[in-house]
Amino acid sequence: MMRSALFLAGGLTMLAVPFAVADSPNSTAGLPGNALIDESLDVKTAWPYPTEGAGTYELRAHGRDLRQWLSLSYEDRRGIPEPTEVAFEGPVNGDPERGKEIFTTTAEGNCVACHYVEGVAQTGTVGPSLADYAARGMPDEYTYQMLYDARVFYEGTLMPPFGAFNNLTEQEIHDVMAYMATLK
Amino acid sequence: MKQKQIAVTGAAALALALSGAWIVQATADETVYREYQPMLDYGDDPHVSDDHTGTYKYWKDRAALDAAMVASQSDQWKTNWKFMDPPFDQSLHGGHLAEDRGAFLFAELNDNGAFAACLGAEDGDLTGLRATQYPQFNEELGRIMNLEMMIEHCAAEQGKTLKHGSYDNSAISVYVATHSNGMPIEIDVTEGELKKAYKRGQERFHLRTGRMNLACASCHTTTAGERLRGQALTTHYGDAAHWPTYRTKDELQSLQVRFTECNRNSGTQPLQLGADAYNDIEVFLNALSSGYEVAVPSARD
Repeated sequence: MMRSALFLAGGLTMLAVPFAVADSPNSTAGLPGNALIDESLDVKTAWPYPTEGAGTYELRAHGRDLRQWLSLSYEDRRGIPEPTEVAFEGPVNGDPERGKEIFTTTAEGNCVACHYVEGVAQTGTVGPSLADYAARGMPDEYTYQMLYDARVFYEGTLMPPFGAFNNLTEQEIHDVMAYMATLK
Repeated sequence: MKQKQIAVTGAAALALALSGAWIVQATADETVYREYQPMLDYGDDPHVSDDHTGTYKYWKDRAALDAAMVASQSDQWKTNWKFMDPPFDQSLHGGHLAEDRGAFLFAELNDNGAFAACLGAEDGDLTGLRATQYPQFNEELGRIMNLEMMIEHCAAEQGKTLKHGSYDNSAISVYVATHSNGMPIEIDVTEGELKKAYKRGQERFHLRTGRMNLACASCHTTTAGERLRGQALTTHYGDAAHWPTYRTKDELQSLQVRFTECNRNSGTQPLQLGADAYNDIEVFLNALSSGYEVAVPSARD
């Protein structure tokens, strides 16, 4: 069952490709010429691995394609989305298991880099602990806006604007919310 | 892009960085919205003792680190990782192997003395070269050059490929830097091209980029001492004096190879080594290490 579902999802992705190009999440429009990329890699965003005893380095693929976002290059003329207020279209319709995966995976939400939750190694203290988040009774509208773009509430916050920046999809935000509803 | 829009030049952007977010001018006729971490007051003539976290006193003298602090889970960050520098760390690690490799390659390249001369050594003497000459604005080449870029340039003149960021290039850099061990970094950013690079580097260090909208400064200014994915964040003062370093995950890294890793960890597309922005950040970080002694070969987790 699971296998056929995955197969189906794969097939749909392939079908969707021609239609997704216009606003592709991996758009390279505006990518500066001195970005470290390797077109021969599956993920074009590359990093240099200094092979021992060699005068050249090997380019390896990063875990996520980062080309669509502003870099440090002076040739990069792109801006970033301004703080974006959004209306929450409830109810939460997400998969808590998938949400936990997003929450704890470096190339995805990586929420645990800054936030503590129980049962995960190597969490952070830059953001507040979310160990009992569900017990606090925060409205879904608030949680959604915090995940979509926390800058609306807190100017200068370090919390990434996951929705406004096209970092997580609408479904992924719902998945994270479903997981956070279990934190108590 | 509305009424609050203000078009400002790069210099004005720097002055305004205290306020955080505004519209910046990306080209002469185009404005875009970007955000900055609030700027620290770095001054025009920075010194390592200006460290904003107040921890300098704990890591000022690497030979006299407080062993209890080094062993403390909550306070270790205050030693700014200097317990993995010599002379505190006397263990044999991959950095020592790199130094040996660098010495071998250097001797091979410097058969007729031209390689050392190209790097700027007088009479073949490498003493102080790392501490007092790099990174530099090279008049002849018309650009900022760090030691690794110069090694690549000078090796090419000898017909050998040693790319900036490669193991062999960094190995020579470690070897050259050993001749500056114990010597404080001296870099004059009070005038000329290095002053401009220092100012530009500040701006880049505080610019928020990438999928997570984070600046270098997001992790190294207000959140120093906090934990990020289990690792304690430290000050960016005094952080340029131990490179290239041996990462214990088994990788010899030059400072700019580390920049590509910092970028990736914070969700920003890395740049090619030697990119102007990386060179400026390297000048900026060296300026924040002014007066701090070079110590190689070093290691870092």
